[in-house]
Amino acid sequence: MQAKSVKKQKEQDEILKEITRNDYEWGFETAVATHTLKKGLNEDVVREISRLKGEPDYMLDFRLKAFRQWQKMKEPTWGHFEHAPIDFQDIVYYAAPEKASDNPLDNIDPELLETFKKLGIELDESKELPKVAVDAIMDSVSVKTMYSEELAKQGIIFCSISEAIKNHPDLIRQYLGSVVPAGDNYYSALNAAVFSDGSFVYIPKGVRCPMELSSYFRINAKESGQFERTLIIADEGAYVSYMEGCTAPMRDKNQLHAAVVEIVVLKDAEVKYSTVQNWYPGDKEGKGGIYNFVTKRGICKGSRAKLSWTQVETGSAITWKYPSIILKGDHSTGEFYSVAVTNHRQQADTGTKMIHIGQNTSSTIVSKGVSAGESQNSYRGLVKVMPNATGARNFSRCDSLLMGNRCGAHTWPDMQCQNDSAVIEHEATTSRISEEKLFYCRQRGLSEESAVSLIVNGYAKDVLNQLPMEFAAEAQKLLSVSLEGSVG
Amino acid sequence: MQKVKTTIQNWVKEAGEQVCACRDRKQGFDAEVNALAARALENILALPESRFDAAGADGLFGEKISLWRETGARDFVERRRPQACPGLPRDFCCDIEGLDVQQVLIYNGCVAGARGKNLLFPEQTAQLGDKPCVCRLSDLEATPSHRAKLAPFFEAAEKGLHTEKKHVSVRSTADFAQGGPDIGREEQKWLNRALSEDTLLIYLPEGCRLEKPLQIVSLNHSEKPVFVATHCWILLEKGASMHLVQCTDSHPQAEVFAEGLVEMRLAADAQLEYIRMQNVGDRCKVFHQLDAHLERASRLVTHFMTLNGGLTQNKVEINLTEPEARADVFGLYLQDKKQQVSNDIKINHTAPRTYSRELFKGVLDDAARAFFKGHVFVHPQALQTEAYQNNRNLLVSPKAQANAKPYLEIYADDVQCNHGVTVGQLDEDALFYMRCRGIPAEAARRLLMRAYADEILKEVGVEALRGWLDSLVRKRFNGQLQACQDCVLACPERTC
Repeated sequence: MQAKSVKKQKEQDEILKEITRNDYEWGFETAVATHTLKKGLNEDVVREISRLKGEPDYMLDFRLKAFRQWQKMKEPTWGHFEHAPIDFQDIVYYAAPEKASDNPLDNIDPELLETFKKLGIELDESKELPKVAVDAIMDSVSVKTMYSEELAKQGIIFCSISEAIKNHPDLIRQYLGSVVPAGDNYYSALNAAVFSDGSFVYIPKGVRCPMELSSYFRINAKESGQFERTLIIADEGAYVSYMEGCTAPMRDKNQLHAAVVEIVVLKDAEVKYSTVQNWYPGDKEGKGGIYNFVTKRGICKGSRAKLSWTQVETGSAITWKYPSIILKGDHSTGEFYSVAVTNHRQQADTGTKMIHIGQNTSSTIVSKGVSAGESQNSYRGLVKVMPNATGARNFSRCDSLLMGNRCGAHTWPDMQCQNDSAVIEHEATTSRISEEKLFYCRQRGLSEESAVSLIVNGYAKDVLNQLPMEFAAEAQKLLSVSLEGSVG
Repeated sequence: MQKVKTTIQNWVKEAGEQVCACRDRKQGFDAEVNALAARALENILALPESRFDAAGADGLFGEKISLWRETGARDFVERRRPQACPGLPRDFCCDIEGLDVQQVLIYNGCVAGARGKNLLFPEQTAQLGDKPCVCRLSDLEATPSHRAKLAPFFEAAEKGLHTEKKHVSVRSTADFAQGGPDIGREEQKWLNRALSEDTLLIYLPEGCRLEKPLQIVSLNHSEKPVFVATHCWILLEKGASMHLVQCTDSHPQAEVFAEGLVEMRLAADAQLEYIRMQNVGDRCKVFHQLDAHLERASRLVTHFMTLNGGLTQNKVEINLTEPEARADVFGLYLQDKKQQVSNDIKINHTAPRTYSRELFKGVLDDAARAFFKGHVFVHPQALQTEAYQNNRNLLVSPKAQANAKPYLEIYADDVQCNHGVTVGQLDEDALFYMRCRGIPAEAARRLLMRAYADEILKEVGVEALRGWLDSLVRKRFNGQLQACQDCVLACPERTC
């Protein structure tokens, strides 16, 4: 018992050390030769991206159609955040580290390997101890996908989406844009027009993916936006756990990140998607940082399918992200677990959509928001039960924690129930860290900062418990770092 | 949609002519009121076309369950204004059994009673002195003391007419968020200001406790489709307290569009219990707006009882502007057939130690639809705020629908706020238990529903009122009640 508490104390100290070290340790920049397109966006840029990727004609059509739709659309303005208008002509839409290729390690720029090593990601398959297959993506291009061959033995396809477009056109044609159509919203249309890379996963019938799959996104080039697209297909009875991480250098100028993630879960399959989002959040005065406008959506297509989103959102100047689930198959299950932490001038507007279409579908939403400094943190969620969704069940819980008197915590839920046998429950609370808890911790010799970090970690435990092992430790550290300087 | 604008313009013109014809007074607040009405009309006419669009998500009357969606703008332009100050049905009365009340009658938007008099004490002239007073605004002389007392109402109206939007380089969020004015609410107020003929004024002087509840009966009756606008100001001075029941009734066959605006100001320590009964025919529409300002340690308790009505909308905005102000907002809606109800409650906590509680419960049968939107706003200065928000819906038929948007917008950390929403069914176990004991299924269902409604009814402060409401709810569940039971218009065989 005592040993345990000593160990805990040590952990606490570790966290504290981590806190005092620095604000954003992933803010370095790598000097790699980069091939970039000129700033600006028009049809020629879209054509050029498609040409550089060596895509077949149907993809070019897909892009051009999306681009034309995008031109007619307006930026959404309902989010609870403010920012200077984005000049979409002032962004570089394609930036690729030169020499990057899908060949073995020797062909990758050593600088790149070093970069990912610094980020804690070992791209050398011989070195990594716990087996996690990583797809590393720098700016617009996938640098390296690990364990592809090993996975291929079981029929699992894990590669960059550009490769998939070339090698698996049937799957791409069937599923790309089937969950998030190009014209779904402003940013998804933009993404469909200019997306440069991303991950592609296909798990065949009845296969349980033997290792965690993961993609790591890194924005490096100046003035570029990142537009990646991820497509995951779990065929009947398959299972996969997928993790996503991201960082960017510290820059004064805001950079745009508009990604799309689509997940198709067929009968009896299960997909678990975890994100630790840690883009550069800008400095204390709100200068710089990533604008993170992401569309994530999955569909439980067959009966008894299950999809679970877990996200830890600590970075980005602006987060606009609503991982959603369409519960189409009967008895399908959707889960959404989220911790969103904002500090300084960060603004987060995040949540989920659960659309119940099939019978006896169930969904769970657990959202924990922490806001500190002068940040704004919103939960926005929709639970919709369609007329035929007999026996639908939803439980939502969204709590907000406020630290300090200049931040805001908001909840904007929406419940639409069109079936009389559905049961929907929604609960939310907003409060600050209780004085009693703080006092208790301080009495036992914890500093105020470590006490707060302990309490916040406890508060977020419901969500952190859902993360895969490899991620959980990192996420806990992140929480403490993000809240640094918010006490007092 | 030019036609809608023209219709509104014509109505205003008609109203103006009628007022000129029937008034012969000297010094009232006419100038101010007319100026406000004229500007309100200007604002409406300057609105973008999309606000009048039938298919639009946000029509002039708000949310998707909107006036235009359900009725179409065509319905609006086919309406007429009712005849000017028509005579009341002779044998009309609307009493609350077992309760002695003071009664004021509004018939088709027109306040009944002697001109220039205090309607509570018909022998006295209308004035805001040391006696409680209920009168028309047009009956009041524009003396400096009256002017001073009513100034906050005029100022608020004035402020609401400013439509200038701040131009900033950054995009901002939804207009109602961040404590900004909710333009949708203001628009509806403009319509009322432009079209209402007169204002009913309820005034209680300092320390006055009105023993008898005051009942305002808004009766709407017309065989042709009409539009009726009513407007009411309630001013409670320091320490005053009263119970106010406002009933909106109609003939079951009437086709009335009743639009109403109630603005109230509660000075320090004032207490008001406000019960709003909505019980109109299936072809009637009720759009009701309440705007309240609460000062130090004042308390407002409101009950919105929507028993029947084709389309009912309550838009409530309560401003807790000084410390220790407290508001309880309760609501009960019992809807069936194709009825629709929308409750949109905004509570602004702008001072420390303020308290608010919302509880809305509903039973939805047949193809009824309910919409609830609660919005609690907590200003950075409103420390130690407590805000609770609750919406419960019971769906008892496959086609019934419930929608809820419980919003919390909080900018202060030392607060306790929570909200909860449930949508569900009657408890199967409880039903089974009762059926085991020989209670027929239908009776068991009704029993459970009544128990469900009881949580709201038990909050009513006056016992006799509670009994009356309880009997109305019981009848409603038994399917006997379509319009007010005591109304001669509803049941012609009954006379008082």
